[in-house]
Amino acid sequence: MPPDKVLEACKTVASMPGFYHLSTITGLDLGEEIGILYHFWQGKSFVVVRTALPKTNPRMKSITESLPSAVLYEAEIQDLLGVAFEGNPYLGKKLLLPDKYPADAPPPLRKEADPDKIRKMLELE
Amino acid sequence: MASFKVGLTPWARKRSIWVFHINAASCNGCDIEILAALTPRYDAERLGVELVPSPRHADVLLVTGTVNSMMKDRLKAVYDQIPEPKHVVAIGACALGGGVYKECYNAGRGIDSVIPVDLYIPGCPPRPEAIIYGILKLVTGGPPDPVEEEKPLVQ
Repeated sequence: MPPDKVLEACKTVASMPGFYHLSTITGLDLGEEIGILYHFWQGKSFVVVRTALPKTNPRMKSITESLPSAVLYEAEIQDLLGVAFEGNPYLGKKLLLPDKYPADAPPPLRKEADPDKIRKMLELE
Repeated sequence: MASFKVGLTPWARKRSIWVFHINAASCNGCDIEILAALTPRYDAERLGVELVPSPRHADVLLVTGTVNSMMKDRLKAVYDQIPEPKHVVAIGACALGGGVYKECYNAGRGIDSVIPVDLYIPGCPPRPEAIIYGILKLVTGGPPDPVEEEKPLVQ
């Protein structure tokens, strides 16, 4: 679904009986775009809300205003795939990446990121 | 390793090895095995191995994990605080050379790329027996002699 409908969809799923648990949010590099999957767990089954963002300057609205438990999941995706979630308190900050992580290097889970180059930039070799 | 054989240190340290443990970006598997080696099941404390809360009290530094960029300076700082003579034991495959994280963007190349290491204990994770054997090897300079009156290491 389009990224601007995600907040509404997540609210709807979370209000379904038993689906109040946002299990995790996954980010994927799909090549041309970045996929984001919201997994809701009910005890027996999952409901997954999927969306995709363009790879250049990916931005979307955070769902933390209605589901506060998404804060760390969104911060992790911001670190590893470079997606900006507007409204997330970690916007522009780092959660997992080292302080020295080079600003000109791509986020590490993007397909174009080269682990060897990043290691050299971090002075690990 | 020489200082464990010179002067009073063999006598004083043979049954009083104080260790400080630092997790330098390990997955926690090796740390749990160190814990198992120190607690009553394997009971390294009967041999004088004691975990201390500060590096300033330690004789031996136990390090696990590939050293990542955030841990690098901190590991050096901890190493510098240990009084001489000091020894470093690298525990687990990651500490030896990267282990399963070797090709990862944030994984270092083992402990000896940052600080000098006296003894390597391989394994993913190493068994508690291996850790006790390694620490005793560091102290005595060789495997314990089975003819000695020592209790067997592991029942």
